[in-house]
Amino acid sequence: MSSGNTSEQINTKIVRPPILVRMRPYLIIAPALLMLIGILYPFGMGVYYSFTSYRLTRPVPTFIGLGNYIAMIKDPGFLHSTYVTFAYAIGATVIELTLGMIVALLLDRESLLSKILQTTLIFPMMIAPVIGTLLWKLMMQPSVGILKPALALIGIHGVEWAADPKTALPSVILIDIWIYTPFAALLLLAGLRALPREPFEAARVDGASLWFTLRNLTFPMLTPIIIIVVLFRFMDSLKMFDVIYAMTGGGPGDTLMTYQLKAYYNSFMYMNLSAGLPYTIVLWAVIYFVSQQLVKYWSKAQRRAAGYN
Amino acid sequence: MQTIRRRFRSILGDLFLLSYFLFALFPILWMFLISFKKTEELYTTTFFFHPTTENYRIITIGESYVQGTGTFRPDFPKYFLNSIIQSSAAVLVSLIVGVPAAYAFARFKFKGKEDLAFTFLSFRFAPEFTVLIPLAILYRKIGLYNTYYGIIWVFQLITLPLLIWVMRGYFEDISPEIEQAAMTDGYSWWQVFWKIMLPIVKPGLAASALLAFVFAWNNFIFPLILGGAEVQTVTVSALSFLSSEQAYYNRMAAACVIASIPEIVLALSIQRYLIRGLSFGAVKG
Amino acid sequence: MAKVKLENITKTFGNVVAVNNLSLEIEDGEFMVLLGPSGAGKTTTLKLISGNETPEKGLIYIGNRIVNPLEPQQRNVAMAFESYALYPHFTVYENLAFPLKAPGRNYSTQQIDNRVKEVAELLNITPLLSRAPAHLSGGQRQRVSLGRALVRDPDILLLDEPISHLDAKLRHRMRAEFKAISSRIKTTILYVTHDYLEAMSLPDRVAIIDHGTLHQVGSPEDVFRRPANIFVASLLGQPKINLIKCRISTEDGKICFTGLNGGVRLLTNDYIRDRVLKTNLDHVIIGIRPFNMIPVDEVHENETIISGKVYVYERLGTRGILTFSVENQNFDLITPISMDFKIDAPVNVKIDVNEIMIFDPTTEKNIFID
Repeated sequence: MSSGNTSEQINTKIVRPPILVRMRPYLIIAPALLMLIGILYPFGMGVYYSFTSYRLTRPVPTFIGLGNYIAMIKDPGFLHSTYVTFAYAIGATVIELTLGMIVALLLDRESLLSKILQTTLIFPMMIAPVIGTLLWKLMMQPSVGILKPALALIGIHGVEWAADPKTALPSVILIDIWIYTPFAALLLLAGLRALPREPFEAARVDGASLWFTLRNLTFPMLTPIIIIVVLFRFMDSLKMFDVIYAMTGGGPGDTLMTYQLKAYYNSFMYMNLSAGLPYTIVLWAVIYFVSQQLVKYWSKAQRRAAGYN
Repeated sequence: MQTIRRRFRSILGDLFLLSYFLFALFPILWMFLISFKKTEELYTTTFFFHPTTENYRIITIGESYVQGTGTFRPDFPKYFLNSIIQSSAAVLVSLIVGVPAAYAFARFKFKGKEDLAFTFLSFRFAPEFTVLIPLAILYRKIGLYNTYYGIIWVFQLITLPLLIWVMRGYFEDISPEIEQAAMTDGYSWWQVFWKIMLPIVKPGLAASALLAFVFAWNNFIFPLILGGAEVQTVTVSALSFLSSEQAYYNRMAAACVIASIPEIVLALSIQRYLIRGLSFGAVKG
Repeated sequence: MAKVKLENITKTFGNVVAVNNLSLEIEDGEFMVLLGPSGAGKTTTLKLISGNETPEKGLIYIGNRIVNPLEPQQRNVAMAFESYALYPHFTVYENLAFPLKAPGRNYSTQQIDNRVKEVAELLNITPLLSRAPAHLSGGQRQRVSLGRALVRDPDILLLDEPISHLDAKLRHRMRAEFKAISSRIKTTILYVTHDYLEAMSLPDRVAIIDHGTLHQVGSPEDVFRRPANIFVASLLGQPKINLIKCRISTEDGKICFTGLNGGVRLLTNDYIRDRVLKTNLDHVIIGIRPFNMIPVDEVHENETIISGKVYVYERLGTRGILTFSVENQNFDLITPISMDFKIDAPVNVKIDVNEIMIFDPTTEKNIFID
């Protein structure tokens, strides 16, 4: 082979791996992408229908723009529905985070009690939420249930739990707490166990109080995990359906009609899809954008926490 | 003075912990108790009664009994089988589709990777009815309503994001040099995936699959809306024991116990990998 | 065995240029060491040859074939990774046997068994064969990683810091083992290290690389005695070469190098004078190796002497390192036997002027090499 000219020609040509090798990542992802399309299609349908007047009695949808959304906002129950949806989510998330944190801190001690209890910690969450709700419904039931006599022992009478509009929301939040606090506790416990020991030892030598250590060391270092707990719990409780449906089906009356419940009743009970869809689309949008922000915030917090080690 | 305060705190802590666990576990124990109660003793006794396995018998052999205005014949064994078939199949499909995708997310760089990964994650957080309402219409049109395939397909919304994200974490934990060594040793990429990568992640893979199984099993909404009597799962059927007339709480309790056993067993066996699975890989247990 | 040729290879990772227009030829059956500090691009170069990385520009030849489009399993190279990269779910035996079981290699079970045991014996890891990598020490893992590369009969053997994580004694022994192994097998070997002792003792040739650029290729002797630039000169030798900035002037027909405000004055011979005059420089950087200087008690007329103060003296068994200072700059020299020095005492050091190196102060190149 002659040098000079030929090698110059070859040098300007870039020799790449064969096309099958370059396409490999896309080929591997392909089935998942197909699945993605299969899910996005009905979603797209839903978005489209939300801008039409679609009833099952009138299956030819006509485009009415934002008509459904405006009707939803004008609906007298909309404000209450918004209140219930967010009150449930915020109440449940805050309490689960706090209670989970306390339980995690208590479990972090090296004791026999912790070891035994830790194994069973997850049980409430492993049971189907519907079934968990039924258990509590059973306990709250006036004739068969155990809560009535138990409360009577300490002198509390007349609690009607979910039958009473005033106590219905706290009742279902209580059930949510029962089911999902283990989630927060387990994650926070894992986080506590992974923390470096030196800063805490130094703080103890310096005579820091418990609260000081918690506020300035523990919580900041646990921030990434706290964000994850908030992310999962807040998003999940915004769309909670099982617990409320099994407990009262949305009642008493309209007390517990969250967005998802509204979507269900409008679409499947009253067959009015145009009334039900806007609730889901709005809820979806809120969840999508809030979760996106939380995930971004989490990445930043993770990077910062890595600097502590 | 310090030690007294510390010991006081320690005891207080133990008390609180015990109360919490009483709170957490009592309902489960109580459900267990009730499932062994005779109907006659339901309203009259609390902790002391004559236990019976009658409720379990009635449920499992599907005895018909009068409830309200008609006879009611729960086909509980069928529901149990439905749950098993649909949850297992859903997990299997997610494994086949999701594990290679998880690997691709872990190892390759390509445009839109993080956006695509987040889209899969968003399925997990999306409100079910956003997809369910159109799906209910679609399924009826294409004949997937009340079929196994229909349920297995929609369960992907639950099982696929979990498997992709958790397995992505496990793959990312393996040093890329191990694959490079295997390829240099003479194996094609596909062979390396099967002989090296999968065996290494096997424990995490099994645990994630089991966790996905539990979540599919526990799901209530999808079979409720998209399934009928044929494919009804054990989770949905638990609710059917209550009616406005006479509620057979003891049988419902028995149904709940049976419906919950697989999950408790599975939960105990995947303790080590639980945290990774629950947090979708965000927290490494 | 085959020769390897890298032609104008450039490899970037994001904004970082790991390998910058590198060209290198390794002869068939040659043992070459790639020497450089960490981050120099040595591992990247190995992975470009093995196929685990692909270059943005340039061609890679194994034998006479362009191998750029070929994946690692098609290239018949073997590699020992710095991180060992052992298969955690296999025993040591299975780790060693794995390359031999690859598709296309038709070894019988007996042949595989023989080969694995042979390599295990060579590296002294036979008692570990049934253990899992998690239960091995660092040094043991390194030997298994090496064994996995040796167990085949590849065209090229790529070794990434194969003995760097062993303790000093074991390293010394392994250097000798390597010398023995390399003379026995005919495979082309490319050995990467940051340790200059391995670079001096093991290979036929050494290639010196920094920031993805090749500085010099040559035999160890060559590279040591005639370094291409200051970087190469400083890299080789412990303690490092002494460098002095000097002015050039003529005195009695001889070239005089004056550095450090007169603290150092060197008169040179004719050969050096002719070379220096050719370059038209008025400043140079002089390099003097520590063993080309010696402390003297008496000062003679024709000798080049530097006078300074003792800074510190390290006794190292049969030899010692004297650090002395002249006008705020420190120089190191090696004393062949252990001597006695008091701190701050005056000392006269004789320099072997024939062995000095002269570098252009701007390009840092050795003026004796074209």
